Amino acid sequence: MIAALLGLVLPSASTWLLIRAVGLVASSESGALRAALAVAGGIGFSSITTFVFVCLGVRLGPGFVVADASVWVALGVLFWRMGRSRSGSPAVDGGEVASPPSSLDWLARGAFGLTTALAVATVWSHYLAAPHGEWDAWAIWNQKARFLFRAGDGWTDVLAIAWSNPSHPLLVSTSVARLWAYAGAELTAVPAVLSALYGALVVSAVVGALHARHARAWLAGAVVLAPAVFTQLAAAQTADLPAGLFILLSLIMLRGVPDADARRRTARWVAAGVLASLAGWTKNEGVVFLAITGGWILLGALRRGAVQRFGWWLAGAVPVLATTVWFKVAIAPEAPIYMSDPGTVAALVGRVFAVDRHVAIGSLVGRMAGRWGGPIASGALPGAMVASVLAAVRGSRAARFALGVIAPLFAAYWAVWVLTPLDTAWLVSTTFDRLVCQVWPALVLAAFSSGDSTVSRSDV
Amino acid sequence: MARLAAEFLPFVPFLPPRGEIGYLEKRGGNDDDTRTYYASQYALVPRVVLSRTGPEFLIVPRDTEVPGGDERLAGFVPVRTFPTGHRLFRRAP
Repeated sequence: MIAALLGLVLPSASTWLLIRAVGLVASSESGALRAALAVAGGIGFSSITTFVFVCLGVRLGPGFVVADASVWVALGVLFWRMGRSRSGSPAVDGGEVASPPSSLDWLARGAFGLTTALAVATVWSHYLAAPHGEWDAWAIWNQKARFLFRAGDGWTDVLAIAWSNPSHPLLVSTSVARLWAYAGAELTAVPAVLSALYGALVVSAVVGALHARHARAWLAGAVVLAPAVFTQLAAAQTADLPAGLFILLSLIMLRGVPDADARRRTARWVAAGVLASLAGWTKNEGVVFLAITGGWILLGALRRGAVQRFGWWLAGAVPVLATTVWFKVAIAPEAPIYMSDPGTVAALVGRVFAVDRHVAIGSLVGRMAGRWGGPIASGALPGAMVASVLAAVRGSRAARFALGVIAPLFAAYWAVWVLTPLDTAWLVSTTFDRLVCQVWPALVLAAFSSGDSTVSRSDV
Repeated sequence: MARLAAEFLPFVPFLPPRGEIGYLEKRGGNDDDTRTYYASQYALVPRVVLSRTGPEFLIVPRDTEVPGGDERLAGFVPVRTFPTGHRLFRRAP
């Protein structure tokens, strides 16, 4: 397991040095955010390089580990030197002077600590009961990781298993297979630790984005952790939390653009594009997120005559997006199961205009939304939605960004529920909780952003 | 799941290292039967376990064969019965 941890640390450290070299995160911003960006970026970038190695016919054995580790060490040295050469220029971060924590701060931190302890205990007990994860983990994600790890260049045989969603993106599976290669064995702890880590990084990003010295940051972290489905997914070894992580980090990069200086602003646009494309490399819903954010950024850039903003964002998105497109077009040109046999155009149009279908979905979604989160956090979803809308109405830029993306994202989910040839009630009831969890951290961040920077004419 | 997948590991020495393996699904099966089928695939990676009788080797999970003779097994001969009750068949030469 120590070797697997080394495999995690190397790309994360390189990404941390890259973040420092390009000045992506201001020194006044929380280290929790910087850490979340570094580890998430490290996992994302290394999944792409692993995929490239595998496509070049490299077996995930000791030779791969040596080559992979060499790449990350070399990049780390390069980014360290870049950071050193830039360290001569003075930083203009304008950090706040930290004041000692008040009793309210300690209360918020205590609530966070208690929630975290419960979450860790839940994840641990899930692991003991189901070390291979939940159904989708061993039917899809870990199964693909086994093919990547065991089959060498024959890994594409997995595409013959229709029920294993052959065209689902590969970030989770390649990350697991890569760390198995470092460990030299298929340790169940590898996907389990990665799964829990995605949850921890989400919380770290939310707390960091709201500035860890503020009580609301710790409260927001506790709220993110509270729903039972969040901790369940942190133990599930599936792809919903990592998708939510990259969605969240991309939005955090965008919300910080207007406050950044010119150099950091460019870096933020690029990073937002990279992170959005990594969401697309994680789950199909991430591709929809990528399209929505790209559309908003292009629209904003055209309105303000600043097309270079979109150019920077696109430059960040293109490398991973191209990999995803290549995978989906050249390697796994299969429609997802929920749209694999959509029927005739007349049938699709009929579904769109079937009022009873919309009513049935609306009724089911309404019931599930009310009780989403489990007994402890029941009502959290409508509460967070109301708080987000209020924050947006008060002019919070972060809330507007988040809602401007989450609303069309849910419209897209709704469209799939309407158009699918599968049993609609079954599809909604088996996907709703997970889909909400993908945007839950961004929604909580929006809800707690009231009082943040307000929208100005220079905003996106 | 770990226990279920482990039930199929004894098949490994009798199967080719790669390629398609057939699987006889229970008629009118339930979620547990689907789980058993998926577990066999998870255990036997990098082989591809397909729910049909076309490949040379055929996995017949316990209690799957239709009593009194299952016509889907026509042309297959038994290779091995495992302690778990699962059986392996091979197409007759």
